[in-house]
Amino acid sequence: MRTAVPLLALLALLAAPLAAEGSDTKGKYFFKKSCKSCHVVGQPGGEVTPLIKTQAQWKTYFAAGKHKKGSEPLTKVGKPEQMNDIQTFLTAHASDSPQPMTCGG
Amino acid sequence: MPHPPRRPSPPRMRGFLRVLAGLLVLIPFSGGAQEAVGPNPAGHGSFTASHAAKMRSQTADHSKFTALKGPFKDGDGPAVTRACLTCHTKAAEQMMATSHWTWNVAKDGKNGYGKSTALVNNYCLTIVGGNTEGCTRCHAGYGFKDKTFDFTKQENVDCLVCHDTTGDYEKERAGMPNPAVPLAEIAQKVGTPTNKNCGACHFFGGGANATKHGDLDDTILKAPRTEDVHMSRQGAGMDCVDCHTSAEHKVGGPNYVIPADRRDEPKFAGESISRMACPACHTVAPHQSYVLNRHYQKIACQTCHIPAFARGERPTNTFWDWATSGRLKDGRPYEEKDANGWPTYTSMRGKMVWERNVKPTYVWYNGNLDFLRLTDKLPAARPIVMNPAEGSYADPKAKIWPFKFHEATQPFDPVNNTFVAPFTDGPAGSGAYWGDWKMDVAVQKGMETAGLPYSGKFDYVRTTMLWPITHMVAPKEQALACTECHAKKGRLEQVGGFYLLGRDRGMGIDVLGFGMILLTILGVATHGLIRTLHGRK
Repeated sequence: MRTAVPLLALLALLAAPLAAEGSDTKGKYFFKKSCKSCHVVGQPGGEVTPLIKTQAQWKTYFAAGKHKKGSEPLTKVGKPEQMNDIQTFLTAHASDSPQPMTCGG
Repeated sequence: MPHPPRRPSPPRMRGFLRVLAGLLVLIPFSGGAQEAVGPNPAGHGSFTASHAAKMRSQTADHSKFTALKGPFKDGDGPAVTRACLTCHTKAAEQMMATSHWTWNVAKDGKNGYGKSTALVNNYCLTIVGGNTEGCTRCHAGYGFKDKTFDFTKQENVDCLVCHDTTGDYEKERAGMPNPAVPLAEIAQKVGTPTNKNCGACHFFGGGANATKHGDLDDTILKAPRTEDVHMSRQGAGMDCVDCHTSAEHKVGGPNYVIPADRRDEPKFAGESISRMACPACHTVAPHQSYVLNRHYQKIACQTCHIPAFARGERPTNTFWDWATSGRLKDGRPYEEKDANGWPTYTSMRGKMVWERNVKPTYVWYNGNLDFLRLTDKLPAARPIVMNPAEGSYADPKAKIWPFKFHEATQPFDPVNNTFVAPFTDGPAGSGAYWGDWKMDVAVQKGMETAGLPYSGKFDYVRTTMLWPITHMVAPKEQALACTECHAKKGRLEQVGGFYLLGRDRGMGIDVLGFGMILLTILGVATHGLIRTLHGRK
């Protein structure tokens, strides 16, 4: 039992970066800078807003980590921590979220 | 051996040679001048040249100042302001005396003409019902969450929102910088405000791009000359601050109490005429025609030179129906859009109408709009005009001006006969309208927060709001033709108080004219009759 506590703490520490929640606010900023420069109405990539997917769909999308229909890794678009923030933002405002958002109407 | 004296050229030849020599000397200079100041073939002025000149006039390279190197903590705007104030010691004090900071101005000793107090519009309605934190992302300060905000704390002034030149600055709720914003990088590149700085708030009035004004939206940043001859980069390439000049951080421009059309009067020391008046650049007699120049006395330049507003790619909101808001699908808010992607219905706001290329409505206007506040009793007439324009033909300061008329339905208190301030911006469970979708609760909560009397009953009422049109000036070829107004059912059909050629008829002149025709016919007929009768003899 005595050894179990530090072990659990260690496990928690190790797991923390994996489950680290990004910042919703920062995510909005990076989303506008990195994604919205192309993903607008009329552009080849089409319009992307948090609303186009459900929370689960965004999770799947970021787990796959593919961009441009799988032709390049998502990390090409921005740094991993920025991607983490973007994921948090998109999920927090997905179509089935408590606060759905179109992002600039 | 001396050369034989050359035969002097005949006088005509000499003149020709002089002109030729002159031209040869002038050509390289005029070419160079064109490159430097570049009169644009499409108009005068040049965006590139004027911006190069502005950059040259700067006397400080802010990247050299250690105070601005930071590092600043994520989102710590006040730390940047403290750094700015180490050199610009009086800047915050100046800024705090302006309406960009107070959001409150007094008129004739009456308070409440400002967003931070009792002002109400027919878009997002009002901020004082608990919506301050969401709305103050456009306040030129940090931390304006509610009425406890400290308006005297200098570090709360936001320098960067107006002086960022990178375009990377962005504000969040309560006006704080987004924590992702690279503060030190931006602070080292500050400069004179450009259209992007002013536009960060003024293009987005009414909650989103192009919504409120009709003549201001972000399409101006990339506008062709046909959309805005002044601000288009293919046009004069001007910045907002080229006309909206400032002194001690007080930016020239009308507000709820400063009249718009007293522009012929100087605003700042040293001006003979306000820079915002068209004649400051164009003179009071810019047309070749005397008749057109005479129009200036009673017709604002904007009336003929802005044939329609919202001429960019984005439509402006012309109708906002709060009475239909709050419908849910499966318990969730939803949006309906038209073929162009503009929302025709949103649960948050109700039915909406968006229009492009809208013909303005024309009214007599001396620069004063009389705003109804939350504390004012409502007039009996429907729809309620929330800010009627002052002026008439008899008013020497009034001219016929173009306006955007914004129609809406909005909640009011039928017992107290006042507008109300619903609490709209908040999460589920807070009582906010956009969280719990109950207007009665939202109004009750909002009026409590605002500290205003509420009877407990609300209803919706139809309202109209007037927005003067002054930007998006069109090229002169598109100015209104005479018959647009001088005609029956023309643009000025509803503008009363005077005789308008082509539109109006005068009983006296009509009787006189028809009488003369009638008398002539009668005379001819009598004469003919007499001749015929005599002829028979």
